[in-house]
Order: sequence, then structure tokens, then C-alpha cells
Amino acid sequence: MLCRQIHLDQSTEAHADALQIDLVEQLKAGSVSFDLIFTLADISDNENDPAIAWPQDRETINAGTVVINSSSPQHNGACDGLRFDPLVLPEGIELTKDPILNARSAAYAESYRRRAKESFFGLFKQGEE
Amino acid sequence: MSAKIHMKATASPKKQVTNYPFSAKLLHWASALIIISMLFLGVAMITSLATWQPIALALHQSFGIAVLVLVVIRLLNKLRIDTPSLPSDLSTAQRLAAEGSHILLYLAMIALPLLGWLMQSANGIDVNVFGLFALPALLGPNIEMYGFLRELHGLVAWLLFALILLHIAGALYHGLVRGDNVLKSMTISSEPASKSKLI
Repeated sequence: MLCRQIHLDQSTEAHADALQIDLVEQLKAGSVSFDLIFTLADISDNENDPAIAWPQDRETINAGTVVINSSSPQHNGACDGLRFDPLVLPEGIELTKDPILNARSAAYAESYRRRAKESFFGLFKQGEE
Repeated sequence: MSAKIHMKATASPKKQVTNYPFSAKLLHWASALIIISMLFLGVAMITSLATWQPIALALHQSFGIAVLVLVVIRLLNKLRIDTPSLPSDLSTAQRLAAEGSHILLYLAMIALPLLGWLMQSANGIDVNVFGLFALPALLGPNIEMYGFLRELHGLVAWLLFALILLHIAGALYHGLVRGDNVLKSMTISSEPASKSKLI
């Protein structure tokens, strides 16, 4: 639900880390803000199928602003060893029956397991080098 | 037959029985049902992106703790009850295999849920038991520790699976090949109800 218009120039567009490179570049010029936009569903909207787009004219509420002031490399950074599980929610926000949410949680758990395995065996590789 | 009983009676101060009491059978078969279901559920849920995956994970955690509790109850019950001895004509190797595999089974049944609890602590996730209460974290979140414990949990699960297959093979060998009392002692009693201690 974090929405921001991102304009990529030709040099970064093809790169796998395009969004990351773009964000780091923008931070050099000052903080970057994201609006937290809630889009309110109409009774006729399907909230369980993310493949069906809602009409553009639904009412939106700007619920807050996330301001990013600085960044650090991801490897060994503050977010390393974390994952973003869509099933872990704060009080007041509940899941829909959207099956993608459950599937994402399971997929992220598996990717986290593989990352954790690499991190663990990486401890020994670091020692050898 | 009388000679064997005499030998056993002098070797052990415990009362000679040919059958496990009902409490031991109930605990054994309840554990068997849960553990075998859990092994298959565990393997199925980690390879699935289906919508039931988070529910499977919650059940897996709850029943895993149930297994740990059952093992503790079983070990305490084992101290209290008289258990049948192995047939006296078994070779030393067979006797060692039987007793060794039982010790390994108990160790795996204790280690597997504990590793699950530990790995979820290192994973930063609370183990919730049937939605009733959450267990305290045994460790702080740590990705390397999670990596180690998660792989060990999987490894011990395969080991337990192999031990269960050996256990079943051994039980069937006693029941079908040797035709002795070992399989019967944990299944259907051949003793009259009056002689068999029920609890």
C-alpha cells in the first residue's frame, strides 16, 4: 500500500537492483517520503482476488507518511535476517481471504529458510577465507 | 517356558509381566498416531504454498508440544509400571538393537519438538499451543542460529522416520517371523483379563 511515483531513467531501468539504486540516488538529494494510502472498497469490489482491479474512483485516505532519511547496505544491515510476512499484522488490520497472502507467507518462509541456511554455512566459509 | 520365567524372575526384582498395561498402550498408540501424522504434515506443509499452509503450521506446532508432553508422561509412567522383558532366547546383538533403538526413539521424540521450539525462537516466532497460550522464546532472533536449528530439525525428523520404520520392522519380525510375545505385548493381550493389570 506504499504508493509513490517512481521515474526510472534508462540507465537504471534494466538493472536488477533498479529500485534500490534509485532510492539511494534520491536520498543524496534529501529525504524520501511515502504516503500510506488506504483505498476503501465498495460493496461490489472483490477483496479476495488480487487479480481483479478495483475502479480508479474509489475513495482513498492518506493514513500517514513514512519518511526515509538515510540508507545502509542490505548485507549485514539492520534489516538483514528479517522477513516481511503478510500474515504478521498489527492490531486493527485483518486479513482478507485473498489466498495470495497465505501463499506469500509460505514462500517467504521457504526463502528465509534458504537464506538462514546460507548464513549459517557462511559462518564456516568466512573462517576459511 | 517355566525355565525362562524363572530366569527372568531372578534377574530382575520387578514383577514378571507379558503385557504392557493399558496406560502404556494408550500413550504408545496416541504418540504413534500423532508423530506419524506430524512427520507427513511437516513434509507436506514445507513444500506447499496452499492456503492451508499457515493452519498446518499452527497444528504442527501445537501437536509437536503435545508430543513433548506425552514423552515426559510416558517416561514417568515407565518408572511406575512393570514392563515385559524381551524373549530370553534373543541374541546379544538383537537385544542391543532393540534396546538401542528404543533409547534413540525416545531421544528423537524429545529432541524433535525441542528443536522445533528452539528454531522458532531463533526465527522470532512464538510457538502457540492450540491457540490457548504462547510458549516463551528460548532464544533471541538470530538468522544463523535459525539456519542451524531449522536444518537440524529436518534432519532429526528424517532420523525419527527411519527409526520408526526400523521399529515397525522389528515389531513385525517378532510378531510374524519369530511368533513371540513382543508384538502382542503392545497390541492385543493374550492374557485373561483377570491376570492382566489394566492400568
